[in-house]
Amino acid sequence: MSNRSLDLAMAVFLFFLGIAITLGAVGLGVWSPIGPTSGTFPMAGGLLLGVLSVVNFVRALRQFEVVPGRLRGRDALSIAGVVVVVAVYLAVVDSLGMFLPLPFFLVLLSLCVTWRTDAKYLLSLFAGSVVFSVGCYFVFKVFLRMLIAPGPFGF
Amino acid sequence: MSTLQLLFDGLAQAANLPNFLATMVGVLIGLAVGALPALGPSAGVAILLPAIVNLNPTVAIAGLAGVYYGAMYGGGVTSILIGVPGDSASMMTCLDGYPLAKRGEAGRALGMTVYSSFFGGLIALVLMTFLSREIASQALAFGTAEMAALMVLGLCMVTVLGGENRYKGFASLGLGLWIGSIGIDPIDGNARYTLGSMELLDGIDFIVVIIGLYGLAQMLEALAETVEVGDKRPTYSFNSLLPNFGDILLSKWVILVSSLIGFFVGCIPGTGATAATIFSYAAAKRMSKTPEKFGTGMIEGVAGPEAANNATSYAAMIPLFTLGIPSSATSAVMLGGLMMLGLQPGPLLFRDHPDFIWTLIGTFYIGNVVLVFLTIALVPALAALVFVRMAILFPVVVGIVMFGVFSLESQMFDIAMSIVLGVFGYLLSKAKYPLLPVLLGVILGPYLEQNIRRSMIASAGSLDIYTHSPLAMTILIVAALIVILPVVFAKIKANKRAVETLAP
Repeated sequence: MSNRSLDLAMAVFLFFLGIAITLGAVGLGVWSPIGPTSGTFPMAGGLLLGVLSVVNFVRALRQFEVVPGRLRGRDALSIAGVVVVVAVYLAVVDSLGMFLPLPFFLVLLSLCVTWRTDAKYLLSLFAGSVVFSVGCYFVFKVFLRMLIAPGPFGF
Repeated sequence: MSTLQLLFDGLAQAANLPNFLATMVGVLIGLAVGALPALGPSAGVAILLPAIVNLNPTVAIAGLAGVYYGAMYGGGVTSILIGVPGDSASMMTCLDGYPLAKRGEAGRALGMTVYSSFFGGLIALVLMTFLSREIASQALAFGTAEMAALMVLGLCMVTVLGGENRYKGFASLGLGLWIGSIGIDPIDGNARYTLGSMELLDGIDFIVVIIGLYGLAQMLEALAETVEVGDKRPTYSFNSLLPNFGDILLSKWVILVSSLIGFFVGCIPGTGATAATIFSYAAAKRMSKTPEKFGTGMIEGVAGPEAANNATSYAAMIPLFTLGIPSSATSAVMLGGLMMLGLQPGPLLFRDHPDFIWTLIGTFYIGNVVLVFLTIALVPALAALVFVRMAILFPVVVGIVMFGVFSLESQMFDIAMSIVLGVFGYLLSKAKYPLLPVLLGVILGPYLEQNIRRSMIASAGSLDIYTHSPLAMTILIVAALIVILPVVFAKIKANKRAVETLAP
């Protein structure tokens, strides 16, 4: 996907977001006898967003401004992978706690960045992740005394 | 009490062990952040914000500021040794620093980086010491109308000057104002844009926004970047890093002029260190007897940008501390840090918390001196940092970010929100929407809204409170001119070009 297409898509998305914000602001009320109310400022933000998104869309369409480069499929896949891995991690935290799944989470994140599956690399990656997780346990749980969801083994 | 007396008291406080340690840790992290191509100073400070939540405010901000100006030093090292700028403010250093290194004079260039950064920082610090108190005392006369007008001016300047496309800048600002308004309205008590979610009733914590938009989005951008580094690393001896007085004398006027450029550019909201380094490089070239040799390894080409970028980092603290208006992305992140610690930057900070502010300025002086020794000692380690693989760095940073974000409110929702904002920030950045206005909208928006609404409630819904204040009106007119004039000038330029094209 070219960045120009992304620019156009972003302008469309922000336009509809601006409309939604403005409509929400109207529902909250935009003016009263004593001046601005709850909806005044969001409406200003929504209008700014909506109107300028139209301007940006037209500028991108007529190529007054061409955003160079492209969003490569490989990069999009990496970022999608990161989002999925974080979502899975957040889903299992309730039952496994924050520390127990952390090494696996870190390995998967690393694989999203560089896909390598040779055993030696994976082993060293996992070992490093375990060390980092133990470090996190001591820094955040023991030293900073953060309230962290415990797992089945108490950590 | 005189300014000098306050400064000496501040220096004495800054030398206390906790403050000194915070400065040391901050500048060490800053050096690493500056050297790592994936992280800039704003991302570095953003990621560390949650770590300072429970610290004493002076210790916390001394550490954060150390990261900021430490990064300015660190960025120069990789620019010279490997030709890879650690951040955008170090780009100009590459132009002459890397050719010097390839010629076998890496130590000379590195030495100049350190000393010009030191002198640039020192000049900016002295100016900051004597100007900040004066600006803050003048600003004490500002009422709510003037402060609101000043916030509007700051937002306009950052939006117009901070990006390539002002339309996208204002769209980003609109987005930020909206994000800042999510949650319970503090005046009317209405729930705004919460979509029935309990987690959103308190709004989106601006620290989560900062970490998402500046920390994670920058990391995601770095995923797509490949750092081209040559196999052969330049060599240098430790002795070559020691002061070369001949070079310092040769560059003395370049350092002075660049420091002043860095200082004044740094005070203007929206311009930032990168612009200061470009201006200072141009000035150094103009002052040279052999401008044609710039780009081939001129020592003045290293001295100018390095003095300017360090001066900018200290100058950025002036509008932040005295008026509560950040002038760069990193100072906006620091504004978030100050507010997170319960401190409201602005003129009252100098009146109500003089110990904090002068101790902090004291830590800046100490940090500037410490950085000279640390940078020289750590050059090999900093140069090696550029070779850290993203496959290692990325999970480590994301792991730290997750624990940091969770530590704010112990909510998984915040982690999810920071990831969503990180991806959204990445896409915005790809489409060339500046992120700084979003951030300022989120941080300053609620304050601006409350200021305006409270002042108008007090004046029974009338705008007289603004129209009857000449200062507020002047500031608002300047803000309007900043928005309108570039459009008018662009139109005149386009018309002129059209006439020239039509002319036979």
